[in-house]
Amino acid sequence: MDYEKIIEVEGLSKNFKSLKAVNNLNINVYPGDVFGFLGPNGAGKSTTIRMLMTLISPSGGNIKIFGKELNPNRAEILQKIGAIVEKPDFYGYLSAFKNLEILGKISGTQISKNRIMEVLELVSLDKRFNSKVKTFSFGMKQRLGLAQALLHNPELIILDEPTTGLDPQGMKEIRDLILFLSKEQGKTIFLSSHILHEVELVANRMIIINKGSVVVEGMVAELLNSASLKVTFEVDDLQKALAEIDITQWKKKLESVVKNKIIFQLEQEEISVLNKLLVEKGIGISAVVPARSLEEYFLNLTEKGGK
Amino acid sequence: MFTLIGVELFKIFRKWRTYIGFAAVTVLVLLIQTAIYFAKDTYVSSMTRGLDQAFMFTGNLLNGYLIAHLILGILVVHVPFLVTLVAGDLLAGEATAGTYRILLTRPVSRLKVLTAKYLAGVIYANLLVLWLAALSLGFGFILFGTGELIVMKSYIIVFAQNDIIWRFAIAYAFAGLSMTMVATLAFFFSSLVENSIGPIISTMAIIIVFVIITSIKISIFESISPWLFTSYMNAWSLPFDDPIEVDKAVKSAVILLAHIIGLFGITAFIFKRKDILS
Amino acid sequence: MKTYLFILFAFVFTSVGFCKDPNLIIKNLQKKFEQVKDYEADVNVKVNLDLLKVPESNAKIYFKHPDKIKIKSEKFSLLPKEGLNFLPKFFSRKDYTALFIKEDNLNGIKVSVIKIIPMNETGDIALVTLWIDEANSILRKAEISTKTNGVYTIEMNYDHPVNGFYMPSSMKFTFNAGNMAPKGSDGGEFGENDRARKKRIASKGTVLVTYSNYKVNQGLSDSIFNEKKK
Repeated sequence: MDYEKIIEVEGLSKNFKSLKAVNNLNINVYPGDVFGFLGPNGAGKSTTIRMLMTLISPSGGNIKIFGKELNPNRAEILQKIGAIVEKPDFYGYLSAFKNLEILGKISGTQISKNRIMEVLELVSLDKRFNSKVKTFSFGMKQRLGLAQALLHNPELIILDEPTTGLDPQGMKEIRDLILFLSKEQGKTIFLSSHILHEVELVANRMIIINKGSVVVEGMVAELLNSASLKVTFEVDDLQKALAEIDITQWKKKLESVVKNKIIFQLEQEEISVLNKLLVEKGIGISAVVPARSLEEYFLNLTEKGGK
Repeated sequence: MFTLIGVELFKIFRKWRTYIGFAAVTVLVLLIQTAIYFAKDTYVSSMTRGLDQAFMFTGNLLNGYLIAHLILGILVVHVPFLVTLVAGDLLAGEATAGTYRILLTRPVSRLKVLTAKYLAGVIYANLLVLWLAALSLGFGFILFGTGELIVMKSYIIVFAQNDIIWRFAIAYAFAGLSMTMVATLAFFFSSLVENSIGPIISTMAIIIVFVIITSIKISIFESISPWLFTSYMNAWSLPFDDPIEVDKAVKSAVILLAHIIGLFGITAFIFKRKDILS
Repeated sequence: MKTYLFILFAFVFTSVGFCKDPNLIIKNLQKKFEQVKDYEADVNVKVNLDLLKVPESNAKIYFKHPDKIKIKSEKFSLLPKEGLNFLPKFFSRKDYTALFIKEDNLNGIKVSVIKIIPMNETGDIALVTLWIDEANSILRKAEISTKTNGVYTIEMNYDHPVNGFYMPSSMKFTFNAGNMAPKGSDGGEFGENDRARKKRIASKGTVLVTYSNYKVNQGLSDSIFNEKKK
């Protein structure tokens, strides 16, 4: 392998007339990563993925994949990528099998009938291989989209919101498949989503973008654990608890009080310490609920439209 | 490239709209042939009026060649619409169906995809003309037999039996070239929009307007006419002359080809740079 | 008009003092013609008209006295109506005045030139000129002026007698083809300008009919002439 990064995006921008859809974006994805690409709706995720897949051309910046400039080496690079871009649409008048067969032919790779059935089985569509795609549900089309991304055994898989439209069981199956592809087959996965929870379950690295720009980037574990947590202590005797906290160092960590809930900004290791103190002081604790500031931050972005 | 063309042809012939063209041509050809079959006496005498004042003649003038010539003249005006039904959908249809995304993220250049789609459309247009030819001549021979071909221009020409088929071959080749021109125009419009209705209507509108300009004898229109491709779409009739105006035929072919190549070039230029947002 | 012509010709030629009997010459011609009761022959037709381009063709022609004519061919062939029917039609009519004009030399053969003026005002023929080979009582040339169809001539060649009968080996028709356009036809797909149209109307043309394999007086059945066109 003669490249350090599988995806290297530098200063990427895309303008649609006066709208800056992507603004000076930098992304680094390393081989073997399950890379979470997060952002609220309208953040520029799909636009970025379309640029990675050469569906739209950047207004500025540079994209390298597998260590090579994207545009001059487009065909060679795309041979090694499988992707779902937004909702997967197929030729509805053809069967699932036929769709995959002709996509294989268009790609110029020799895809055997066995391989087609293999990927259909992987996404649990083998029993419907001969059904016309127009009879498929949205979830089935999502799975077929995954099948076409895996068809030619690519090194890099780009998934744009792959669990959209799936039930919880379907979502779990996709997550399990992602982990299988990453751990067992050594694939690199670029996973775009607007659901933090979905990403944190599978990704090792992630980036959050908003309004086309990077907000935060790093290893998932570091971002989620190092981030201080908002911890809510639900207490029996609020006045007594507040009196105890007031005379200690924990006063500085007090954020707010809502009814019988005291909210602190704590590090992970401080939760148990404070919990022990309050219990020793005879204060009854009915619940301790941590909320990561990152999650709250992301929720703020999604709920308030990214302000 | 052949694989790509094969895939595109497969997609074309799996759509029901493709068969509208073949069905329409079949119905029209059979209708015309049947109508003439039951009115053959009056049809022949109306054609040879004037001729039979001065001459007595023999032979089977109402034959498959005559009917095929007549059908070619009628349908070459109407077949363009049938061509646009498919050609206008080649690119716009992908946008409507959302399949641009899976198609244009394949490891094959956009130009190749575009060219394969275009050539598949051209093949369809020419297959339609071939179908017209096969039905006209084939059924024509069965219903009316063979004979000499009489063609009315500003004078009357009768072509000997052994002097006809090659003329039809050239005429159908010109008809195919004209339909290729129509397909190219519809394909161009198809690259600009995301719904196939627009390209179909735009192409037909342009053809109708250009034909009207070509046929009205006003000096300003007459100066514009040589620049309009519709002025050369009647070149199919040139082989049915004696002597054949070869320079006119060559000019028509060259101008139509130039239009085709130019339009395809513009389409390729636009399509290569197009942002796929559907 | 006819009366004037008659008086003019009568004055000119009686005053010159030159006078053969045209009716006698015609009568001899008719007598010779009526010896042929019927004939069939192969014909080759070459049409050379600006207005009508047809390929060289072959057919069979049948004639039965007094005026039955039929052509047959599997392929396309055409023959001038008026020209073929000329003599039989001429002989069937009596309403004309014949005037002997002069003796002349036609391609080295001595002929008598006779003008025929129809008395019938309503007919299409205005004037006919005949060049008759008196020695053999055969017609060598005819020039027919019509009111609506211009002027056409028929020139006949005779190689050698067939069973003693003088049958033409070829007939060359020369006529004004301006009125041959089918009614309603208005030009080709690429249009026709006025100059072309005038040229078309003013153009002449010839049709050459070559006869061979004559079978004279073999007894043709009427049914040949009654067969319907396929």
